[in-house]
This record gives sequence, structure tokens and C-alpha cells, in this order.
Amino acid sequence: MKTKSIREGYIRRTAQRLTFIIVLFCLLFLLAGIAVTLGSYNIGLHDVYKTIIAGPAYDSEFTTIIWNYRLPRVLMAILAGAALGLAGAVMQGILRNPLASPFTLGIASAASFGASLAIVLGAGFVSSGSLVVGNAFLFAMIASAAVYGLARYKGISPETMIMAGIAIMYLFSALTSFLQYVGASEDVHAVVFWMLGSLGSSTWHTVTVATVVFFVTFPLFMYLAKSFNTLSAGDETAKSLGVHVEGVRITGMAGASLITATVICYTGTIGFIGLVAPHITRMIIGSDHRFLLPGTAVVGSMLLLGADSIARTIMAPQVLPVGIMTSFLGVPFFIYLFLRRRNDYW
Amino acid sequence: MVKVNVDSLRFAYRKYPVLKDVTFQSANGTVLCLVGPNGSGKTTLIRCIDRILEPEGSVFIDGKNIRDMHRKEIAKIIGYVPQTGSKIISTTVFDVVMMGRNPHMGWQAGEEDFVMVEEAIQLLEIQEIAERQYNELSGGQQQKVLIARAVAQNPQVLLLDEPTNNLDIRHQLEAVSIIHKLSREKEITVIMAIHDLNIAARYADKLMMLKDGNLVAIGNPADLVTKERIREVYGVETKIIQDPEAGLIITPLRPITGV
Repeated sequence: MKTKSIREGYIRRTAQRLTFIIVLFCLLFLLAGIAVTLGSYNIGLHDVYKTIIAGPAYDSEFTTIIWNYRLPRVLMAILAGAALGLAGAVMQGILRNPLASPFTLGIASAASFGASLAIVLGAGFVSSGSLVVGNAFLFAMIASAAVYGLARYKGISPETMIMAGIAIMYLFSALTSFLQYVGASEDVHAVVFWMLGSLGSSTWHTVTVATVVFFVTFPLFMYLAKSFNTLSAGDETAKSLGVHVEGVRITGMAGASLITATVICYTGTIGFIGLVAPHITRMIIGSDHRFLLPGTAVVGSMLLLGADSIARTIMAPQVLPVGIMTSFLGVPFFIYLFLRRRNDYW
Repeated sequence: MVKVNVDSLRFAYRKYPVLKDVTFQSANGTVLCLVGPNGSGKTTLIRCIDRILEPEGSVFIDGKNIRDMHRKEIAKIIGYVPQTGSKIISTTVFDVVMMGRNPHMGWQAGEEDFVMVEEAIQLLEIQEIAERQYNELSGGQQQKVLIARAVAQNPQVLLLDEPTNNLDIRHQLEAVSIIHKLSREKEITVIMAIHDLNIAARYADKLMMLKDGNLVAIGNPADLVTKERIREVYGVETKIIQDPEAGLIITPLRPITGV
């Protein structure tokens, strides 16, 4: 093989990866429009885009439904899916572990505990109006700080971080179980519902907060993408190639924790997306984080938006918890790719 | 001209000393081979020179202490070829070699990066496998890819940890002669840990023997490799022949008990 054609191959692969991301982004735009049409009030796709382009309006039942209910929910699905996928890709990269997800480091179980504490005991650190949300966020960040502290003490390596994360996860899930054991049954039901995850409480406020955090962390991750790539060759090699390994790992983990906590404090613990969206993307376009990160964000968005749309309509007017739907939708696709691809994609 | 100056280097893993006060210099564009039994501190010494480990004592490159340099600055002048064996998450050979450009390039590869990577791939003759997955390759092929990555890094000092470990005799010779050529043509200062005394004696400008973290001897291979010294360092009885074509031929005969 000539070296020239090797370079052409590299450029061709780069173009393919970019095309994949762009095509998927267009599909997401289409899917979002379709998602807004779904519901008991019948709205056509053409009218959806027309109403959105016309700007916020609440002058009729029609526009109010779109602007007040369906659009925030669809946008939150897109943001939450992107955020969870992105956090998963970063975690898997910096921990060099295919089983890492935004929840590996105990973030989800800590958030669940925070929410349970608010639901069962009405106790927390923030004002009562946003007690559940505030508590969930706060405890998620406490958990990642604790993991960081423990790992720092032993030396920050993937192994120490995963071990510390598992310890923290079990601690908080035991605390949550205790609250469920002593709590009143309607509170326990609320806790379980929270832990299944739902996009039902999405408003323009939650969308705004999630958007801000997403656009702070995403550029940071993209800036670190090249360092994440070198980390895949091992800490020693990454160091010898000029990467400040501990700094990159801590920054990545802090960013992933923040973005995860921001999303799940509003939606509850939506699992699976953070674990599987990165794998699906990696199987299709490879593990170069410069493409993997934006790709995973779009794939995560599509998964969650698709899952939520089905969850809203399949047993209408009953709305299924989206956490159940993400697995139903994602697992078959994941297994298909998993069986089709050769084994060494990771 | 002295390129690498290692001064009173000491390193301990959890209070267990592995390097005890090692001092030596290496001249520009020469090959220094580190030899010594398992556990003598060769790998640790190489990692300390690249500051992957933080030793006591100093390492100077062109008179500049690497402790005062940023990681990226060090990576621009020192290349490191680790032992093979660790996996790299789903990456093509081309991408692995491109990693060597990390300290030099921005977010995207530019013309210079491509040229350096292509040169390195040609030099190591790995064109045929350039688009394959790194993890699918044999140990010998992986070794060549890792050397190519360090070459693409365009270093002034090249550190190699047992680069011939996974290679058959033909590929051992090829790899070492490429490394030797690099030191001559590109004036790269090579420091290489190696097990095979015959190859070390043949290609080294200077040989350095380590035992239990101490520098036993350093110098010209012809002066350094004697029966007595090999007995002292390795505890092995050997036969050494001076051959006009092959240079020194060192054949181990039997281990000495009680050493």
C-alpha cells in the first residue's frame, strides 16, 4: 500500500465520520418535529414547524400545547439524551472501561438518595419549592467529590476511581433503601417513580438550565478530545506524549459529573443511555473522541427522544416511565450491532 | 557533546529502592544500551528519564533540567517506546502513529503531521498494516508500530524499553538497525534497555550495566564485556568470542550457584 493512499484513507474516514454526524443531526431535527405532533391533540408536522418558526405564542389551544408542553419536553429529551451520552463517552474514555457510565461513580444513587430524602422526610439544604431537584443535584455532586477525594488519596487511576465509585454507590443505595423502608407508602411510590426517570416535569426553565450547562461542558470536552484519545493508550504513554494525565482525568470527571447531575436532578435517573449511546457510536464511527463525542451526543438525543415519544404514545393516555422505554428501544439495536461487528471494537 | 546528563538519580517504590544513585552522560547521536538482569532497574531508569516517574536527583537534556519543563515540552524532545502488551482501545495503526504528533499538533493534523507520520510508517515498513486495528496485530508488528509512533514524535532523545522482546531474530535485527540508523542520520540520542547481550554489544556505542539499582560499569562494549564482569552481574559462566563479522559473540554456558 502506498503511503499516499494511506493518507487518503484517513481523510476519507474523517469525511465519513463527519457525514454520519451531520446526517444524524438532520434526522434528529426531523424526529423532533414528529415528536411534537404526537399526543392526544392532533397536530400536523407542517403546522409544527410553522408554529415553531413563528416564535413563542400562546394565543390558541394549539400554540399553547406546542409551546408550553410538547416543545419543552422534546427539547429536554434532546438535551438530556445528549448530556447522558456525552458523560458516558467521557467516563468510558478516561476510565478506559467499557462498563463505565455517568452512574458508575455513584452519581445516580447519590442523586436518588437526595431526592428520596426530600420526598420522604421533606429535608434538604435548599428552599422547599425545589427541594427534590436541589437535593438530587447536591448529593450527586457530593458523591463525585467523595469519589475524587478517595481516589486522590490512593493516586488517581481508573482502578481507584472505579473502586471508590462502587463504594459510594453502595453507600447511597443502602441509605435510599433505608428511607424506603421507613417511609410512608405513597412517598415510597414517588421515590420509585423518580428513580424510573421521566421527562414529564420539563419546562422552559429546566431546558434553559440544561442548555447552559451543556454548552459549557461540551466545548470543554471537545477541547480535551485529543487528550482522551492518548489516554486510551494508557497513562504512561499519554504522559510521554505530553498529556497531563491526572488533570485531564479530573477535569473530565468533574464535567461529566456536573452535566449528569444537572440532567438527572430534573428527570430522575434515566439509565442505559449513558452506557449504550457511546458504544453504539463507537461501533459505527470508531473511538476518535473528536468525532465520538459529538456523535454520541446526537445518538443519545435520538435514543431518548425516540424512547420518550414511544413511552408517551404506546399506551396513551397512560405515559410509561421513559427509563423503561430506553432499554426496550436501545437493547435490540445494541445487540444487533454487537453481534454484527467484530469483537475488538472496544 | 553531552545530550543527556543523569545526575545522582534515585527512585524507590514504596520505600523499596530500585535505583540507587545512578549517574551517567550520553553524547548526542549515540546509542547507549542498558543491560542487566531482571529487576536491575532498567525500566525504572528509562521511566525516570522521561519523568513518567518522579525520581530524586536530576536529568538534564542539553543542560536543561527536565523538572523545570512542562509535560508537553518534554514530549517534544523525548520519545518513549514502552514494552508492548497493553491494549489500545479500538484504534487503527495510522491513528496510533498519529498519536506521536500529539505534543506538536493542534486540534487537527496539519501537513507536517501527515508528512512525519508517513515517513515513520515508511521507515518501519508498516504500510501494509497501516489501516488495520492495532489490537489485531502480532506482538512484533505492534512493536514496530510503537517505534513508528515515537519516530513520528520527532524526538531528540529516544528511550526504548526492550524493543526486541516480541520479535523473531530477523525482526530483531531490522528493528535495532533502524534504531541505529536513526541515531546516525537524525542525530537522535538513543537509550535502550535490552536483554540480548549480543545485539547490545554489536549496536551500542556505549554499554551500561546495571545490577540491583546500581551502575556497575559503563563504557565501550569491547572493553566492558568480559567473562569476569558477566559473572559478577548475571552470575553466569560464559564463552566470549571475537568474530570479525559478528563482533562479540557471548554464549552463556551455565549459571554459577551461590552468587
